[in-house]
Amino acid sequence: MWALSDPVRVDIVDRVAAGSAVTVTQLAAELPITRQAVARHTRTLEEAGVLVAAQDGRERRYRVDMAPLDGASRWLAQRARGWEDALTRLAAYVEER
Amino acid sequence: MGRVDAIERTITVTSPIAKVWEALTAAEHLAQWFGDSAEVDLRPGGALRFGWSDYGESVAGVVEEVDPPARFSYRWDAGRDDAGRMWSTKVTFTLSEVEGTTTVTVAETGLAALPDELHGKTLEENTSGWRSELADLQQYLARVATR
Repeated sequence: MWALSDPVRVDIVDRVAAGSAVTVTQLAAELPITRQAVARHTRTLEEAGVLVAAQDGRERRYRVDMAPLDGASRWLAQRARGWEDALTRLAAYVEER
Repeated sequence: MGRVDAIERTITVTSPIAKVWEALTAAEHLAQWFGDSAEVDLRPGGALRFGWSDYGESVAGVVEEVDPPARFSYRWDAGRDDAGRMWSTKVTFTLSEVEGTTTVTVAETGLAALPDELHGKTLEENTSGWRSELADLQQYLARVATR
């Protein structure tokens, strides 16, 4: 889908989905682009319904709505989550031993 | 649309690198946290297999790089396309340690090359009902794109 045709936007969705960065400020800190550029991308993703925003004080916090994503994007998001879960289990297993 | 080719995730573990390496590469450990069974012939070209009994599923692969304790990679099966051809992706673990804390990064690459049906199969149930709305959505996005 068009909203995800830009690798930066894919990266943004990926980070929001992972929970590592969920505001424009946090995304700008993690990405090699300006705050303004991040805001432009998040607005596009919001208009496409991929990102859903909730106002939290002065910042908007984003979450990913999986519904508008196409099959391949959802499959990738699921697979990424699978690896996240696997690493979390690895850490727990190693730290317990 | 430009497809995503790689998934990358990183975690830090408060354990020495040797211990993490063992958990990542030895079958008896992998069976404890990754799947519930594992076979690993830990050398380049060696066979590996992970099993998930809950899903009645196992996935086979081939070890590529074994560079203890910093790098371990393998290719594993991603499924068969409609013509019966088996596809695979590459999984690479890289490890580094600073003062007893180990950083582990997993990268799975080769995803963009996979045929559509492999993406779709596991999601058919979730996506039915949505596909019909795709055309409308694309039109909408095309309008947004020109702003």
